[in-house]
Amino acid sequence: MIPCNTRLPGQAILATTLLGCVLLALSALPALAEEHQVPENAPSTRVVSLSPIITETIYLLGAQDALLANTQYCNVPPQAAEKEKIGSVTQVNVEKIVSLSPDLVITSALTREKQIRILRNQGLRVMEIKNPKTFAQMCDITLAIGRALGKEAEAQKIVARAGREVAQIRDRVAGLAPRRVFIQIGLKPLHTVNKDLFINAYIDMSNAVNIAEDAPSGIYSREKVLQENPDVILVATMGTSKKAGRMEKDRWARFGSLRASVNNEIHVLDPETICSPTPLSFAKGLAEVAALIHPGAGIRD
Amino acid sequence: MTKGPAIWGMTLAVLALLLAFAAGLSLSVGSADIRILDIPGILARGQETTAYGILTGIRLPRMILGLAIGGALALAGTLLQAMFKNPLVEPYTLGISGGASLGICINILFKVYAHIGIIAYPLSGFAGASLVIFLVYGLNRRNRHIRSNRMLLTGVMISYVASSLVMLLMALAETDDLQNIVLWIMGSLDEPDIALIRLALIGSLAGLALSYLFCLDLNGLLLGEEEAAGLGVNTGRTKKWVFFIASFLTGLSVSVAGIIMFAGLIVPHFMRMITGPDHRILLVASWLAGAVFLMLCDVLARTVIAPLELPVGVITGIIGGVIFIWAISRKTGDI
Repeated sequence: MIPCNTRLPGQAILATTLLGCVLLALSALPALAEEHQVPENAPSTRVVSLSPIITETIYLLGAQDALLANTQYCNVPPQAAEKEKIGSVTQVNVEKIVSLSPDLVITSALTREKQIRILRNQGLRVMEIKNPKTFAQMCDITLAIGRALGKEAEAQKIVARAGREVAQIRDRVAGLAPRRVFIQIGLKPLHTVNKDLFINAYIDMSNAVNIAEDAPSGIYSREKVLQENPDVILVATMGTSKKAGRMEKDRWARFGSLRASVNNEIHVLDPETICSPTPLSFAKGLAEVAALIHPGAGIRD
Repeated sequence: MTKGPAIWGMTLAVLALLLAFAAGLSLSVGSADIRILDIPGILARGQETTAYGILTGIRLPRMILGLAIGGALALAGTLLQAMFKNPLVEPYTLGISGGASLGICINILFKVYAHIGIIAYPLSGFAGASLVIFLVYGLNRRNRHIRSNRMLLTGVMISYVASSLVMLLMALAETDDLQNIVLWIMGSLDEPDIALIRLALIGSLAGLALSYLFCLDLNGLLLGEEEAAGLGVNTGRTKKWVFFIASFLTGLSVSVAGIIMFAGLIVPHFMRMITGPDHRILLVASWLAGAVFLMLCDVLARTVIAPLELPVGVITGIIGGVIFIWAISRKTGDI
């Protein structure tokens, strides 16, 4: 093979010119944005919510007049659907938010980190709400949103009421023998919840043990369920029809070795009752779950 | 080499005009009502207005990133198609995007970002991409000779292995991490870090400059490897460098903007139909056309169902794919 040392000068000139362009680009890009800090101000009156739960909380607090815009998924309560939209929960239109000049943007765990940083670079006040994992965290979120919107008293009232309802249910089940529960939230692959998801709190606070509590993730094996042999199986498959839930119940019922099958303690649960992590809806969902787990406790009375 | 400098000049002029048009559109289209004629006024009035913030903090960085990434991907595609003499090769074929995804997943699962900040995302992506690049190269290097087909196959297999590993990590991930991974893989041109955007643009232009050192060698390779060697082309060295330039361009793109499909496959083919296979014009034409293509796709992505913003990869895939199929079906003869 002959080494190729002979290069056309034109090629070298082209390459140098282009390298020159690179250097030009280096200097031609000024600092495009600098971070400015906005002082922590009085109650926000122009708020953008980036998740349905946050929107729902704002309505529960009676602060809907301060809500400027929300996402396309925000339809609880129905009036929330009529507010201005800034995109979906994951695909947020940052420019739209900035153009509304809000004084507070409340983001969810599904908001992109990069977009949060752009909002901050634009000098907007951003409040980041992460997914709650316990009832206490749900209360904290309601309180935090209440404080930011000048509705602290209402927030306290809601949290106190939810706390009372939860305490009542816990009293009813307190003396009973703890039960072992498996909750199914997904079909394919078989999906449950571990202690990182707030749904675990429904089981935890019903004086019961979630058999998948310490699983590394939500994906679980059917064999393991048979082996663990829980007392109760709850089927609340999200994103599927009621029929799918019933079929899944029948499938579990066919395993004669399952205690839950023998005692007829496999229940289909409407996922709506356990998918909304606000304090009051949690208390309501807990009443249903606890009644299924401890049928003799008289929670429904 | 049937087409002369006059055609080249015209091609470049048209592309430059298109680039200016796309840049103008990218700056003037969006949810906020800012028209192109208002832009100088807004810039003159200075920092305090919302419009200024939107223009310089959101639209301009996005436009520049689109330009840099679009150019880089199209150029990488052109280089790889020439090197492998295979029209199906695109920047993601060799598993580089898979490596980057894997790097990002590992970063998210092991919370590397908690220690070194948000820069961990592009860094880990680039580390993953680099690992794959050296793996693909190292496994196929024998005595300064690169075996193209083996290299291609190794890359494709690594790409499958990487995507399976990503799925494995997703199965093991906690809910919050899982959301993070899915969002990242969707890709986005929204980038808050100006330094990173600058780096992407510089890297992209540097790749273009470096690739011009090999444009005549690439033309030689078109004739076949032995013929090229006969013409005095050091084929081993050329292929090695072209591979590294294209790979690092891809790694840079993926680690900054996530996975944007098709730009690196369609644009090179289109430009080859227009300019012919001479790499002296093809390289820069592809770069420019890639930049125009991605900027326009991004404009569409943020306007078609506004206020919802689509991932730009959705648009590049649908628009690019459909136009490409149409163009190919009109062409007589083989590619």
